[in-house]
Amino acid sequence: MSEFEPKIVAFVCNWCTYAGADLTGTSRIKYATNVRIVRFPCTGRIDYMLLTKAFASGADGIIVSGCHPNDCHYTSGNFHARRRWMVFKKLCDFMGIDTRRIVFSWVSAAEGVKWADIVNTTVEEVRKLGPYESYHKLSTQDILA
Amino acid sequence: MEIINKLIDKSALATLIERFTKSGKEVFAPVKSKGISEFARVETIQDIDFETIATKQSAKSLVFPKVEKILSYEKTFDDVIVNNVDYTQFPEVIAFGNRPCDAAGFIPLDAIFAGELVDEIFKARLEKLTVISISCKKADDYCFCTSVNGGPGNTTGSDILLTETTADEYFVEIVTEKGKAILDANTDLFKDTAAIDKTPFLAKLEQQFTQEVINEKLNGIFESDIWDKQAMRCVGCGACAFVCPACGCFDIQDETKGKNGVRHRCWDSCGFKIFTLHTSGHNPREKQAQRWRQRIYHKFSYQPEQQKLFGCVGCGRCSRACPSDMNIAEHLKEIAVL
Amino acid sequence: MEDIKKLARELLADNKVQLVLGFENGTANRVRPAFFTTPEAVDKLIYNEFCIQNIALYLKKDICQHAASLAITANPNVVRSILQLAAENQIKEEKIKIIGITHEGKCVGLLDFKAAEEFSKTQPKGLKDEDKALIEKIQAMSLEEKFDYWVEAFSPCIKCYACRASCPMCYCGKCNVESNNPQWIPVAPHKYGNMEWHMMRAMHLAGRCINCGECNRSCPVDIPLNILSYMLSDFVLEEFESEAGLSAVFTPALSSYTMVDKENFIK
Repeated sequence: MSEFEPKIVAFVCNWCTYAGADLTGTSRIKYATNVRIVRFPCTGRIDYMLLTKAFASGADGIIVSGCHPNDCHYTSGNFHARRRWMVFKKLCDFMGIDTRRIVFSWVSAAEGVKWADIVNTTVEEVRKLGPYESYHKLSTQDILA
Repeated sequence: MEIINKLIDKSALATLIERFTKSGKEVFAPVKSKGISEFARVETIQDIDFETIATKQSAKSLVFPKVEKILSYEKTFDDVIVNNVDYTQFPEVIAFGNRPCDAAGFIPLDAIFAGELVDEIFKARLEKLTVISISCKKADDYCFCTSVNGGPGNTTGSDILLTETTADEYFVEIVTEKGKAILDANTDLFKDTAAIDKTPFLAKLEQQFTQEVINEKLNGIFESDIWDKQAMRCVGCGACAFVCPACGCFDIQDETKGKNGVRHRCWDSCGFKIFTLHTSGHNPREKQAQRWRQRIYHKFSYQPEQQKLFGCVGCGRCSRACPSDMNIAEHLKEIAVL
Repeated sequence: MEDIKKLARELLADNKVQLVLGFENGTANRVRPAFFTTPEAVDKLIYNEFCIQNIALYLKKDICQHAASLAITANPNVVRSILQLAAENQIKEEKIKIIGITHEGKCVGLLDFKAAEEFSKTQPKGLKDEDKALIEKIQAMSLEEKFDYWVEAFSPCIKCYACRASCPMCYCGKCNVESNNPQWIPVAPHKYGNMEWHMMRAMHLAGRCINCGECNRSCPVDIPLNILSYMLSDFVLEEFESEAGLSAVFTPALSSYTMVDKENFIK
């Protein structure tokens, strides 16, 4: 069997991380190809249920990334998101959803190098954890087979 | 067929259940866990809760599960392959220790699912089901089976009805061919007896109204304000419909993963606002009172008209489960004296 | 109880309110919510230790929405719910007369919002000991055990939505689970559908739940839903010093932020 390649879904803000990821590319920095980027208008728009949907759709790890504090294009979207993530993380921890697989980060449009680093470390972390079997099983057992 | 009368003692009953499970039949009976009695798979007679008057949920999930796959599909390059559920492979199921009201509940369900149009999956499950009910020694304040043509010793819907006559013995009524098949395969466990008057061994339950009167009253009160009055405290959950042994409404949900998917049938309730919501945004049953009215009319007017039977067996589960004490018997009584 | 009745009767007789929301004797020795519109009807009003259902729920139902003014017999949970509803602009002070009742069943007369806030602070709250013990038990579990625990705990769920229907804070005209174009939260009550539904609901109530425990009481299959909300309320209080149900002028924790919120978990 071939080596496990983690599937990572990244929910990113249009105004910073998405542009940052673009910069990573134009700067010709190589990084892991395991990530699928989903562009959002703001981290404030990233519904926590999207994270569980990603897991349900087969993701093994998730990156949620947006603008540094005070950099939000809409003034406070990232501040609201920050609180929401805290609470969601707590809920996940309490319900046994593996938060080691969810990485939150601030990556600005200028931080192409940081983006590559975030993706690479996340991929390696998740590779160590292995496929997220328990959630995949939960979400597919009544639908497939 | 004519009812065959037998006796069985409790140790023989234990053997009977053991024989069922050993022969690969799935036995479902009331099981008490964390203070709640519900139908669950049992292996031996010790697992069974004989005391609880009524399980929280009815036995309907044995033939109409809360969620059930009715087909699966797969998208290929230029086609969709549909795989129907193989309903010939359903296991033989024994419902054991349910109350006569539970057994009676299978009749209106059968009328809904296997009337003019036959639901093959439901029908297959029902055909594989044998119902061994136990008469009620006790009734509680919510029971009203005697008001809807049922009773604590009613045989309707049961294949076999057991009535506890002594601490060690049950009087057995074999009601159907299915029941007779069990008798024939286990003759050593049953003893002969003449018919017994069950009345002394049954719960006493006064009749509060008749369903025929309700049916008649409903003809003139569609626009009455009684629906508003009764439904005022209804919170609009679906607990009543979901615990009801005779409620058969369902929702169809397609769930997809990539190119594969399944079609699920799940319980639904006329108490929900979204139940009748049209695509246009119009909702013919906008208010909770209208939805409550629908529940009563469906059971006591539409079903009698269309299927020649009533959709309520008087188990009182809806009233027990209601968070705000919407007691159906009380409300029907109000209607009966209008 | 007589003072509660007297108060309710006077309010109706003096035309100060059109409707009194309270309790009456129900069937099978239960009590149930009741709506009184005349002073004579108030004879049936009761209040005792069994009147624990959170009737603030009805404030968002048609009957109360259509009444120009109303009074409500309010135990501490109901008072907290009213304050939280007011904080979320769901009810106006001039419309509602709160007949305050302490957790011991003593009537404290009419409360305006200011008095209700004071009252709310003095009343005991929180979970029963066995619920607290359950939270601790779950917190001590491993990740896998927690996950299995909740999957199993939610598995009897039949999606009757009694938790939602009985919750005063679940007043949305269209619930997220009813977003069906495409279907967002699975409707089917299988394990996955149940998990997502309860997770979604817990998050929507985080920082807004007043911990009355009605979700748990109304659940026909006894899922310990209240401990989910309680655990989150506890966390919100600890992290953001924010607590729902104490003030009529209040922004729930997840609708607000500070510049100094923790971010040690963000890379």
